[in-house]
Amino acid sequence: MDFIIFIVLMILGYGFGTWAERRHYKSIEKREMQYQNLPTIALKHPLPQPGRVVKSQLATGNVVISVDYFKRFLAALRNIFGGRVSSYETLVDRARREATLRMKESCPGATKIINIRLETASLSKNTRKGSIGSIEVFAYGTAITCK
Amino acid sequence: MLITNIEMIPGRQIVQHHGLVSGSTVRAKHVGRDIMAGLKNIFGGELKGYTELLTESRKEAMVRMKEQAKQMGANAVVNVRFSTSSVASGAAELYVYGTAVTVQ
Amino acid sequence: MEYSGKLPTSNVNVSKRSPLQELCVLLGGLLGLSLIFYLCLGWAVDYSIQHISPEEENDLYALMKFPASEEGEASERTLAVQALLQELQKCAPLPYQVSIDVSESKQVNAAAFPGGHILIFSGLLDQMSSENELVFVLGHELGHFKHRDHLRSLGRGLVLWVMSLFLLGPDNDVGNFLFSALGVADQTHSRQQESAADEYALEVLNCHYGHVGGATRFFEKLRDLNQTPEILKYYSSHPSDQKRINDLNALAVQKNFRVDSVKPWAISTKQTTKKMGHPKG
Repeated sequence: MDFIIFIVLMILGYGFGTWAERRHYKSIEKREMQYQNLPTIALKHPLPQPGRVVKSQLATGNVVISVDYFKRFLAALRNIFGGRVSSYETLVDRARREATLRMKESCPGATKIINIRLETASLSKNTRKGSIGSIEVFAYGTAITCK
Repeated sequence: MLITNIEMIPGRQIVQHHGLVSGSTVRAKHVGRDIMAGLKNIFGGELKGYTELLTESRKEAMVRMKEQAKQMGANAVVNVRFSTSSVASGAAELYVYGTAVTVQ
Repeated sequence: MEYSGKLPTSNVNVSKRSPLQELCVLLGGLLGLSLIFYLCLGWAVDYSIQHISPEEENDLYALMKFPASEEGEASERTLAVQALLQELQKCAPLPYQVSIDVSESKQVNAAAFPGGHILIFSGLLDQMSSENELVFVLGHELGHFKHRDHLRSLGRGLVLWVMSLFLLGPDNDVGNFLFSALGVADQTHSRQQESAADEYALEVLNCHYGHVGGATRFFEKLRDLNQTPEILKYYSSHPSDQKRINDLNALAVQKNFRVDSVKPWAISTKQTTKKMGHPKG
Protein backbone atom coordinates (compact mmCIF):
# COMPACT_ATOMS: atom_id res chain seq x y z
CA MET A 1 0.00 0.00 0.00
CA ASP A 2 2.82 2.36 0.92
CA PHE A 3 4.34 1.62 -2.44
CA ILE A 4 1.26 2.74 -4.34
CA ILE A 5 1.09 5.97 -2.35
CA PHE A 6 4.72 6.58 -3.13
CA ILE A 7 4.23 6.10 -6.87
CA VAL A 8 1.21 8.40 -6.87
CA LEU A 9 3.11 11.11 -5.00
CA MET A 10 6.01 10.84 -7.41
CA ILE A 11 3.79 11.22 -10.42
CA LEU A 12 1.92 14.14 -8.88
CA GLY A 13 5.15 15.79 -7.85
CA TYR A 14 6.72 15.40 -11.24
CA GLY A 15 3.65 16.52 -13.16
CA PHE A 16 2.72 19.56 -11.13
CA GLY A 17 6.30 20.46 -10.37
CA THR A 18 7.38 20.55 -14.00
CA TRP A 19 4.31 22.51 -15.03
CA ALA A 20 4.75 25.09 -12.27
CA GLU A 21 8.44 25.40 -13.04
CA ARG A 22 7.89 26.00 -16.74
CA ARG A 23 5.23 28.58 -16.06
CA HIS A 24 7.44 30.33 -13.56
CA TYR A 25 10.40 30.46 -15.92
CA LYS A 26 8.26 31.98 -18.65
CA SER A 27 7.12 34.70 -16.28
CA ILE A 28 10.69 35.30 -15.10
CA GLU A 29 12.04 35.64 -18.61
CA LYS A 30 9.30 38.03 -19.60
CA ARG A 31 9.89 40.28 -16.64
CA GLU A 32 13.66 40.19 -17.00
CA MET A 33 13.22 41.46 -20.52
CA GLN A 34 11.15 44.32 -19.15
CA TYR A 35 13.72 45.27 -16.55
CA GLN A 36 16.86 44.81 -18.55
CA ASN A 37 17.39 48.54 -18.72
CA LEU A 38 17.57 48.93 -14.98
CA PRO A 39 21.23 48.48 -13.99
CA THR A 40 21.57 46.23 -11.01
CA ILE A 41 25.08 45.86 -9.72
CA ALA A 42 26.87 44.50 -6.72
CA LEU A 43 29.31 47.39 -6.47
CA LYS A 44 29.12 49.65 -3.46
CA HIS A 45 29.83 52.94 -5.11
CA PRO A 46 27.40 54.37 -7.60
CA LEU A 47 29.23 54.65 -10.89
CA PRO A 48 29.18 58.15 -12.22
CA GLN A 49 26.11 59.00 -14.18
CA PRO A 50 24.72 62.26 -15.49
CA GLY A 51 22.28 63.91 -13.16
CA ARG A 52 21.89 64.54 -9.51
CA VAL A 53 20.75 61.97 -6.98
CA VAL A 54 17.21 62.76 -6.02
CA LYS A 55 16.12 59.78 -3.96
CA SER A 56 17.68 56.72 -2.48
CA GLN A 57 15.86 53.93 -0.74
CA LEU A 58 16.34 50.33 0.29
CA ALA A 59 14.79 48.02 -2.28
CA THR A 60 13.88 44.52 -1.15
CA GLY A 61 12.32 41.43 -2.66
CA ASN A 62 11.81 37.97 -1.29
CA VAL A 63 10.28 34.70 -2.29
CA VAL A 64 9.80 31.26 -0.74
CA ILE A 65 9.73 28.33 -3.14
CA SER A 66 9.26 24.71 -2.23
CA VAL A 67 10.45 21.55 -3.92
CA ASP A 68 8.07 18.88 -5.04
CA TYR A 69 8.18 15.22 -3.94
CA PHE A 70 9.91 14.03 -7.09
CA LYS A 71 12.82 16.45 -6.68
CA ARG A 72 13.23 15.55 -3.04
CA PHE A 73 13.41 11.86 -3.80
CA LEU A 74 16.00 12.49 -6.52
CA ALA A 75 18.05 14.53 -4.07
CA ALA A 76 17.85 11.75 -1.49
CA LEU A 77 19.15 9.28 -4.10
CA ARG A 78 21.98 11.67 -4.87
CA ASN A 79 22.75 11.70 -1.18
CA ILE A 80 23.68 8.05 -1.46
CA PHE A 81 25.72 8.19 -4.64
CA GLY A 82 27.12 11.71 -4.50
CA GLY A 83 27.46 14.17 -7.34
CA ARG A 84 25.63 17.20 -8.57
CA VAL A 85 22.08 17.51 -7.27
CA SER A 86 20.56 18.81 -10.48
CA SER A 87 17.01 18.73 -9.17
CA TYR A 88 17.70 21.52 -6.72
CA GLU A 89 19.59 23.66 -9.23
CA THR A 90 16.43 24.90 -10.87
CA LEU A 91 14.93 25.61 -7.47
CA VAL A 92 17.63 28.01 -6.30
CA ASP A 93 17.94 29.55 -9.74
CA ARG A 94 14.25 30.35 -9.91
CA ALA A 95 14.16 31.67 -6.39
CA ARG A 96 17.14 33.95 -6.92
CA ARG A 97 15.87 35.42 -10.14
CA GLU A 98 12.39 35.89 -8.75
CA ALA A 99 13.71 37.66 -5.66
CA THR A 100 15.84 40.08 -7.74
CA LEU A 101 12.89 40.80 -9.99
CA ARG A 102 10.71 41.58 -7.01
CA MET A 103 13.40 43.84 -5.70
CA LYS A 104 13.40 45.71 -8.99
CA GLU A 105 9.64 45.92 -8.88
CA SER A 106 9.66 47.37 -5.38
CA CYS A 107 11.26 50.64 -6.46
CA PRO A 108 9.39 52.03 -9.44
CA GLY A 109 11.10 54.89 -11.18
CA ALA A 110 14.59 54.07 -9.90
CA THR A 111 17.55 54.73 -12.13
CA LYS A 112 19.77 52.01 -10.80
CA ILE A 113 20.17 49.60 -7.92
CA ILE A 114 23.57 49.18 -6.32
CA ASN A 115 25.13 46.92 -3.72
CA ILE A 116 22.66 44.11 -4.16
CA ARG A 117 23.04 41.26 -1.69
CA LEU A 118 21.28 37.93 -1.68
CA GLU A 119 20.48 35.95 1.43
CA THR A 120 19.35 32.36 1.16
CA ALA A 121 17.74 30.46 4.01
CA SER A 122 16.35 26.97 3.95
CA LEU A 123 13.06 26.32 5.67
CA SER A 124 12.42 22.67 6.25
CA LYS A 125 8.94 21.53 7.04
CA ASN A 126 10.03 18.92 9.53
CA THR A 127 13.44 19.05 11.11
CA ARG A 128 14.74 16.12 9.14
CA LYS A 129 18.40 16.26 8.56
CA GLY A 130 19.44 16.27 4.95
CA SER A 131 16.05 17.20 3.56
CA ILE A 132 15.09 20.61 2.31
CA GLY A 133 11.44 21.55 2.28
CA SER A 134 11.66 25.02 0.81
CA ILE A 135 14.10 27.84 0.47
CA GLU A 136 13.73 31.54 0.90
CA VAL A 137 15.80 34.00 -1.07
CA PHE A 138 15.90 37.60 0.03
CA ALA A 139 17.44 40.23 -2.25
CA TYR A 140 18.14 43.79 -1.12
CA GLY A 141 19.98 46.75 -2.49
CA THR A 142 19.98 50.52 -2.59
CA ALA A 143 17.80 52.01 -5.33
CA ILE A 144 18.94 55.37 -6.55
CA THR A 145 16.85 57.78 -8.57
CA CYS A 146 18.73 60.36 -10.59
CA LYS A 147 17.39 63.33 -12.45
CA MET B 1 14.17 57.92 7.94
CA LEU B 2 16.54 57.04 5.12
CA ILE B 3 17.80 53.51 4.81
CA THR B 4 20.50 52.28 2.46
CA ASN B 5 22.76 49.29 2.31
CA ILE B 6 25.80 51.18 1.05
CA GLU B 7 28.12 53.09 3.31
CA MET B 8 26.69 56.51 2.56
CA ILE B 9 23.56 58.24 1.40
CA PRO B 10 24.13 59.26 -2.20
CA GLY B 11 23.98 62.98 -2.59
CA ARG B 12 24.10 63.69 1.13
CA GLN B 13 26.84 64.25 3.67
CA ILE B 14 27.21 62.28 6.87
CA VAL B 15 27.92 64.63 9.76
CA GLN B 16 27.52 62.40 12.77
CA HIS B 17 27.27 58.71 13.49
CA HIS B 18 25.55 57.06 16.39
CA GLY B 19 26.77 53.48 16.37
CA LEU B 20 25.10 50.17 15.67
CA VAL B 21 21.34 49.86 15.67
CA SER B 22 19.39 46.71 15.15
CA GLY B 23 15.91 45.32 15.09
CA SER B 24 14.87 41.74 15.41
CA THR B 25 11.72 39.73 15.56
CA VAL B 26 10.94 36.06 16.03
CA ARG B 27 7.95 34.81 14.14
CA ALA B 28 6.24 31.47 14.11
CA LYS B 29 3.97 30.19 11.40
CA HIS B 30 0.48 28.98 12.17
CA VAL B 31 -1.13 25.67 11.32
CA GLY B 32 -2.96 26.88 8.23
CA ARG B 33 0.24 27.91 6.53
CA ASP B 34 1.81 24.65 7.56
CA ILE B 35 -0.87 22.59 5.84
CA MET B 36 -0.46 24.53 2.61
CA ALA B 37 3.27 24.06 2.89
CA GLY B 38 2.75 20.36 3.34
CA LEU B 39 0.76 20.17 0.11
CA LYS B 40 3.21 22.34 -1.74
CA ASN B 41 5.98 20.04 -0.62
CA ILE B 42 4.46 17.45 -2.91
CA PHE B 43 3.47 19.67 -5.81
CA GLY B 44 6.18 22.29 -5.69
CA GLY B 45 5.77 25.99 -6.37
CA GLU B 46 5.80 29.20 -4.41
CA LEU B 47 4.65 29.25 -0.82
CA LYS B 48 2.82 32.56 -0.76
CA GLY B 49 1.88 32.24 2.89
CA TYR B 50 5.46 31.94 3.98
CA THR B 51 6.56 34.73 1.67
CA GLU B 52 4.06 37.09 3.25
CA LEU B 53 5.02 35.94 6.71
CA LEU B 54 8.66 36.66 6.14
CA THR B 55 8.00 39.98 4.39
CA GLU B 56 5.95 41.19 7.31
CA SER B 57 8.55 40.02 9.78
CA ARG B 58 11.29 41.90 8.00
CA LYS B 59 9.16 44.99 7.85
CA GLU B 60 8.57 44.77 11.58
CA ALA B 61 12.26 44.25 12.26
CA MET B 62 13.07 47.30 10.15
CA VAL B 63 10.49 49.37 12.01
CA ARG B 64 12.14 48.41 15.28
CA MET B 65 15.53 49.36 13.94
CA LYS B 66 14.27 52.72 12.71
CA GLU B 67 12.67 53.30 16.10
CA GLN B 68 15.96 52.62 17.82
CA ALA B 69 17.79 54.94 15.43
CA LYS B 70 15.28 57.70 16.07
CA GLN B 71 15.72 57.30 19.79
CA MET B 72 19.43 57.77 19.29
CA GLY B 73 18.80 60.99 17.40
CA ALA B 74 19.77 59.77 13.94
CA ASN B 75 17.93 60.48 10.72
CA ALA B 76 19.38 57.73 8.52
CA VAL B 77 20.71 54.19 8.78
CA VAL B 78 23.46 53.12 6.42
CA ASN B 79 25.16 49.83 5.62
CA VAL B 80 22.13 47.79 6.54
CA ARG B 81 22.49 44.02 6.63
CA PHE B 82 19.97 41.25 7.20
CA SER B 83 20.30 37.88 8.86
CA THR B 84 17.90 34.97 9.25
CA SER B 85 18.24 32.07 11.62
CA SER B 86 15.85 29.43 12.78
CA VAL B 87 15.65 29.29 16.53
CA ALA B 88 13.08 26.57 17.03
CA SER B 89 11.29 24.27 14.68
CA GLY B 90 8.74 26.41 12.95
CA ALA B 91 10.06 29.75 14.20
CA ALA B 92 12.61 32.00 12.54
CA GLU B 93 14.41 35.01 13.89
CA LEU B 94 14.93 37.94 11.53
CA TYR B 95 17.65 40.35 12.40
CA VAL B 96 18.42 43.70 10.73
CA TYR B 97 21.38 45.83 11.70
CA GLY B 98 23.09 48.95 10.44
CA THR B 99 24.95 52.10 11.40
CA ALA B 100 22.79 55.01 12.53
CA VAL B 101 23.98 58.39 11.21
CA THR B 102 22.85 61.96 10.89
CA VAL B 103 22.99 63.35 7.37
CA GLN B 104 22.36 66.75 5.91
CA MET C 1 29.68 55.41 -17.93
CA GLU C 2 27.64 53.59 -20.47
CA TYR C 3 25.37 50.75 -19.41
CA SER C 4 24.52 48.13 -21.94
CA GLY C 5 21.81 45.84 -20.67
CA LYS C 6 21.85 42.48 -22.38
CA LEU C 7 20.34 39.30 -21.08
CA PRO C 8 22.29 36.03 -21.23
CA THR C 9 21.14 33.71 -24.01
CA SER C 10 21.07 30.50 -22.03
CA ASN C 11 20.64 29.56 -18.41
CA VAL C 12 24.03 28.33 -17.23
CA ASN C 13 22.90 27.51 -13.72
CA VAL C 14 20.85 24.43 -14.54
CA SER C 15 21.81 21.00 -15.83
CA LYS C 16 20.76 19.93 -19.28
CA ARG C 17 20.06 16.35 -18.24
CA SER C 18 16.43 15.33 -18.00
CA PRO C 19 15.36 14.54 -14.43
CA LEU C 20 13.53 11.39 -15.54
CA GLN C 21 16.66 9.98 -17.08
CA GLU C 22 18.56 10.74 -13.90
CA LEU C 23 15.87 9.05 -11.83
CA CYS C 24 16.06 5.90 -13.96
CA VAL C 25 19.82 5.69 -13.70
CA LEU C 26 20.00 6.28 -9.95
CA LEU C 27 17.02 4.14 -9.10
CA GLY C 28 18.27 1.33 -11.31
CA GLY C 29 21.62 1.40 -9.56
CA LEU C 30 20.03 1.45 -6.14
CA LEU C 31 17.61 -1.40 -6.88
CA GLY C 32 20.39 -3.46 -8.41
CA LEU C 33 22.51 -3.08 -5.30
CA SER C 34 19.54 -3.80 -3.05
CA LEU C 35 18.70 -6.95 -4.98
CA ILE C 36 22.23 -8.28 -4.61
CA PHE C 37 22.19 -7.45 -0.94
CA TYR C 38 18.78 -9.08 -0.46
CA LEU C 39 19.90 -12.31 -2.12
CA CYS C 40 23.02 -12.40 0.01
CA LEU C 41 20.83 -11.86 3.04
CA GLY C 42 18.77 -14.92 2.15
CA TRP C 43 21.85 -17.11 1.85
CA ALA C 44 23.45 -15.72 4.98
CA VAL C 45 20.34 -16.31 7.10
CA ASP C 46 19.92 -19.84 5.76
CA TYR C 47 23.54 -20.57 6.53
CA SER C 48 23.51 -19.23 10.07
CA ILE C 49 20.25 -20.99 10.95
CA GLN C 50 22.05 -24.29 10.65
CA HIS C 51 24.37 -23.19 13.42
CA ILE C 52 21.67 -22.28 15.91
CA SER C 53 20.40 -25.24 17.85
CA PRO C 54 16.71 -25.53 18.71
CA GLU C 55 17.56 -25.15 22.38
CA GLU C 56 19.16 -21.79 21.76
CA GLU C 57 16.20 -20.85 19.62
CA ASN C 58 13.78 -21.67 22.42
CA ASP C 59 15.82 -19.65 24.89
CA LEU C 60 15.41 -16.69 22.58
CA TYR C 61 11.67 -17.14 22.39
CA ALA C 62 11.39 -17.41 26.15
CA LEU C 63 12.28 -13.72 26.18
CA MET C 64 9.23 -12.85 24.07
CA LYS C 65 5.62 -12.99 25.13
CA PHE C 66 3.00 -14.76 23.09
CA PRO C 67 -0.80 -14.78 23.29
CA ALA C 68 -2.44 -17.64 25.12
CA SER C 69 -6.05 -18.65 25.04
CA GLU C 70 -8.41 -17.91 27.90
CA GLU C 71 -7.68 -19.50 31.22
CA GLY C 72 -9.97 -22.06 32.70
CA GLU C 73 -10.78 -25.66 32.24
CA ALA C 74 -10.00 -26.96 28.81
CA SER C 75 -13.11 -28.00 26.94
CA GLU C 76 -13.69 -31.49 25.62
CA ARG C 77 -12.74 -30.29 22.18
CA THR C 78 -9.50 -28.74 23.32
CA LEU C 79 -8.47 -31.95 25.04
CA ALA C 80 -9.28 -33.93 21.90
CA VAL C 81 -7.19 -31.63 19.74
CA GLN C 82 -4.30 -31.78 22.19
CA ALA C 83 -4.41 -35.58 22.19
CA LEU C 84 -4.40 -35.58 18.39
CA LEU C 85 -1.35 -33.35 18.38
CA GLN C 86 0.52 -35.67 20.70
CA GLU C 87 -0.23 -38.52 18.30
CA LEU C 88 1.06 -36.53 15.38
CA GLN C 89 4.41 -35.95 17.04
CA LYS C 90 5.25 -39.53 16.09
CA CYS C 91 4.98 -38.56 12.46
CA ALA C 92 6.50 -35.10 12.91
CA PRO C 93 9.38 -35.45 15.31
CA LEU C 94 10.63 -32.20 16.80
CA PRO C 95 13.40 -31.76 19.36
CA TYR C 96 11.05 -29.97 21.75
CA GLN C 97 7.54 -30.23 23.10
CA VAL C 98 4.70 -28.76 21.10
CA SER C 99 1.51 -27.54 22.76
CA ILE C 100 -1.79 -26.32 21.38
CA ASP C 101 -4.46 -23.98 22.67
CA VAL C 102 -7.94 -23.36 21.32
CA SER C 103 -9.20 -19.80 21.30
CA GLU C 104 -12.93 -19.11 21.15
CA SER C 105 -13.34 -16.88 18.15
CA LYS C 106 -15.24 -16.80 14.87
CA GLN C 107 -11.94 -16.43 12.99
CA VAL C 108 -11.11 -19.25 10.63
CA ASN C 109 -7.41 -19.37 11.33
CA ALA C 110 -4.59 -21.14 13.07
CA ALA C 111 -1.20 -19.77 13.97
CA ALA C 112 2.14 -21.18 14.99
CA PHE C 113 4.05 -19.13 17.54
CA PRO C 114 7.75 -19.47 18.23
CA GLY C 115 8.61 -21.91 20.98
CA GLY C 116 6.32 -24.69 19.88
CA HIS C 117 2.96 -23.11 20.66
CA ILE C 118 0.08 -23.49 18.26
CA LEU C 119 -3.05 -21.41 18.60
CA ILE C 120 -6.12 -22.58 16.76
CA PHE C 121 -9.39 -20.65 16.61
CA SER C 122 -12.70 -22.35 17.24
CA GLY C 123 -14.02 -20.82 14.02
CA LEU C 124 -11.63 -23.05 12.13
CA LEU C 125 -12.57 -26.13 14.16
CA ASP C 126 -16.22 -25.48 13.34
CA GLN C 127 -15.38 -25.68 9.65
CA MET C 128 -13.84 -29.13 10.01
CA SER C 129 -15.93 -31.91 8.59
CA SER C 130 -13.29 -34.63 8.88
CA GLU C 131 -10.38 -35.44 11.14
CA ASN C 132 -8.07 -35.53 8.12
CA GLU C 133 -8.54 -31.81 7.50
CA LEU C 134 -7.57 -31.01 11.07
CA VAL C 135 -4.50 -33.23 10.82
CA PHE C 136 -3.50 -31.36 7.67
CA VAL C 137 -3.78 -27.99 9.44
CA LEU C 138 -1.81 -29.22 12.44
CA GLY C 139 0.78 -30.72 10.11
CA HIS C 140 1.11 -27.36 8.34
CA GLU C 141 1.85 -25.58 11.61
CA LEU C 142 4.29 -28.30 12.62
CA GLY C 143 5.96 -27.74 9.25
CA HIS C 144 6.66 -24.14 10.22
CA PHE C 145 8.40 -25.33 13.35
CA LYS C 146 10.36 -27.99 11.48
CA HIS C 147 11.65 -25.53 8.87
CA ARG C 148 12.36 -22.95 11.60
CA ASP C 149 10.42 -20.35 9.67
CA HIS C 150 10.08 -18.01 12.63
CA LEU C 151 13.79 -17.72 13.15
CA ARG C 152 14.28 -17.16 9.46
CA SER C 153 11.74 -14.36 9.24
CA LEU C 154 13.06 -12.80 12.42
CA GLY C 155 16.62 -12.87 11.15
CA ARG C 156 15.74 -11.41 7.77
CA GLY C 157 13.56 -8.68 9.16
CA LEU C 158 16.09 -7.66 11.74
CA VAL C 159 19.01 -7.51 9.37
CA LEU C 160 17.02 -5.60 6.74
CA TRP C 161 15.88 -3.04 9.26
CA VAL C 162 19.26 -2.56 10.86
CA MET C 163 21.00 -2.20 7.52
CA SER C 164 18.55 0.36 6.24
CA LEU C 165 18.80 2.30 9.49
CA PHE C 166 22.56 2.16 9.43
CA LEU C 167 23.09 3.13 5.82
CA LEU C 168 20.42 5.70 5.28
CA GLY C 169 19.47 7.03 8.66
CA PRO C 170 16.01 7.11 10.19
CA ASP C 171 13.19 8.97 8.49
CA ASN C 172 14.88 8.97 5.12
CA ASP C 173 12.62 9.10 2.05
CA VAL C 174 14.70 6.59 0.18
CA GLY C 175 15.02 4.33 3.19
CA ASN C 176 11.27 4.11 3.62
CA PHE C 177 10.81 3.47 -0.09
CA LEU C 178 13.38 0.67 -0.08
CA PHE C 179 11.87 -0.86 3.01
CA SER C 180 8.37 -1.00 1.54
CA ALA C 181 9.68 -2.25 -1.83
CA LEU C 182 11.62 -5.00 -0.11
CA GLY C 183 8.57 -5.75 2.02
CA VAL C 184 6.67 -6.56 -1.15
CA ALA C 185 9.52 -8.80 -2.29
CA ASP C 186 9.62 -10.52 1.08
CA GLN C 187 6.02 -11.64 0.65
CA THR C 188 7.29 -13.95 -2.08
CA HIS C 189 9.59 -15.52 0.45
CA SER C 190 6.73 -15.84 2.91
CA ARG C 191 4.63 -17.63 0.28
CA GLN C 192 7.48 -20.06 -0.36
CA GLN C 193 7.54 -20.82 3.34
CA GLU C 194 3.81 -21.48 3.31
CA SER C 195 4.08 -23.83 0.32
CA ALA C 196 6.88 -25.72 2.02
CA ALA C 197 4.72 -26.07 5.13
CA ASP C 198 1.86 -27.38 2.98
CA GLU C 199 4.17 -30.01 1.52
CA TYR C 200 5.24 -31.07 4.99
CA ALA C 201 1.61 -31.29 6.08
CA LEU C 202 0.91 -33.64 3.18
CA GLU C 203 3.75 -35.89 4.34
CA VAL C 204 2.40 -35.90 7.90
CA LEU C 205 -1.07 -36.74 6.64
CA ASN C 206 0.27 -39.66 4.65
CA CYS C 207 2.30 -40.88 7.60
CA HIS C 208 -0.64 -40.73 10.00
CA TYR C 209 -3.35 -42.29 7.85
CA GLY C 210 -1.47 -43.95 5.02
CA HIS C 211 -3.33 -41.81 2.49
CA VAL C 212 -3.93 -38.14 1.74
CA GLY C 213 -7.68 -37.98 1.33
CA GLY C 214 -9.22 -34.76 2.58
CA ALA C 215 -6.10 -32.62 2.25
CA THR C 216 -7.57 -30.14 -0.18
CA ARG C 217 -11.12 -30.18 1.14
CA PHE C 218 -10.53 -27.44 3.63
CA PHE C 219 -9.04 -25.12 1.00
CA GLU C 220 -11.89 -25.84 -1.33
CA LYS C 221 -14.26 -24.68 1.38
CA LEU C 222 -12.21 -21.57 2.02
CA ARG C 223 -11.98 -20.79 -1.65
CA ASP C 224 -15.72 -20.90 -2.01
CA LEU C 225 -16.21 -18.74 1.07
CA ASN C 226 -13.70 -16.04 0.14
CA GLN C 227 -14.01 -14.20 -3.08
CA THR C 228 -10.64 -12.39 -3.06
CA PRO C 229 -9.67 -11.59 -6.64
CA GLU C 230 -6.56 -13.22 -8.04
CA ILE C 231 -4.77 -9.91 -8.61
CA LEU C 232 -4.27 -9.26 -4.94
CA LYS C 233 -2.42 -12.51 -4.50
CA TYR C 234 0.90 -10.80 -5.10
CA TYR C 235 0.50 -8.83 -1.89
CA SER C 236 -0.68 -11.70 0.20
CA SER C 237 1.62 -13.57 2.53
CA HIS C 238 -0.09 -16.85 1.68
CA PRO C 239 -0.56 -18.37 -1.76
CA SER C 240 -4.14 -18.21 -2.99
CA ASP C 241 -6.46 -21.05 -2.04
CA GLN C 242 -6.76 -22.30 -5.61
CA LYS C 243 -3.01 -22.39 -6.00
CA ARG C 244 -2.63 -24.35 -2.78
CA ILE C 245 -5.22 -26.87 -3.99
CA ASN C 246 -3.45 -27.24 -7.35
CA ASP C 247 -0.04 -27.61 -5.74
CA LEU C 248 -1.26 -30.21 -3.26
CA ASN C 249 -2.88 -32.26 -5.99
CA ALA C 250 0.30 -32.10 -8.07
CA LEU C 251 2.41 -33.12 -5.07
CA ALA C 252 0.15 -36.07 -4.28
CA VAL C 253 0.56 -37.33 -7.82
CA GLN C 254 4.30 -36.72 -7.82
CA LYS C 255 4.88 -38.59 -4.56
CA ASN C 256 2.45 -41.35 -5.43
CA PHE C 257 0.25 -40.85 -2.40
CA ARG C 258 -2.92 -42.81 -2.13
CA VAL C 259 -6.28 -41.10 -1.69
CA ASP C 260 -8.87 -42.79 0.47
CA SER C 261 -12.05 -41.96 2.34
CA VAL C 262 -11.79 -39.50 5.19
CA LYS C 263 -12.45 -39.98 8.88
CA PRO C 264 -15.25 -37.89 10.35
CA TRP C 265 -14.47 -35.36 13.05
CA ALA C 266 -16.98 -35.99 15.75
CA ILE C 267 -16.00 -33.48 18.38
CA SER C 268 -17.94 -30.24 18.70
CA THR C 269 -18.66 -28.03 21.68
CA LYS C 270 -22.10 -29.55 22.13
CA GLN C 271 -21.19 -33.21 21.92
CA THR C 272 -19.17 -34.89 24.58
CA THR C 273 -18.49 -38.23 22.94
CA LYS C 274 -14.98 -39.44 23.40
CA LYS C 275 -14.92 -40.74 19.87
CA MET C 276 -11.22 -40.22 19.17
CA GLY C 277 -10.07 -43.04 16.96
CA HIS C 278 -6.47 -44.11 16.87
CA PRO C 279 -4.57 -44.01 13.63
CA LYS C 280 -4.70 -47.07 11.53
CA GLY C 281 -2.04 -47.94 9.07
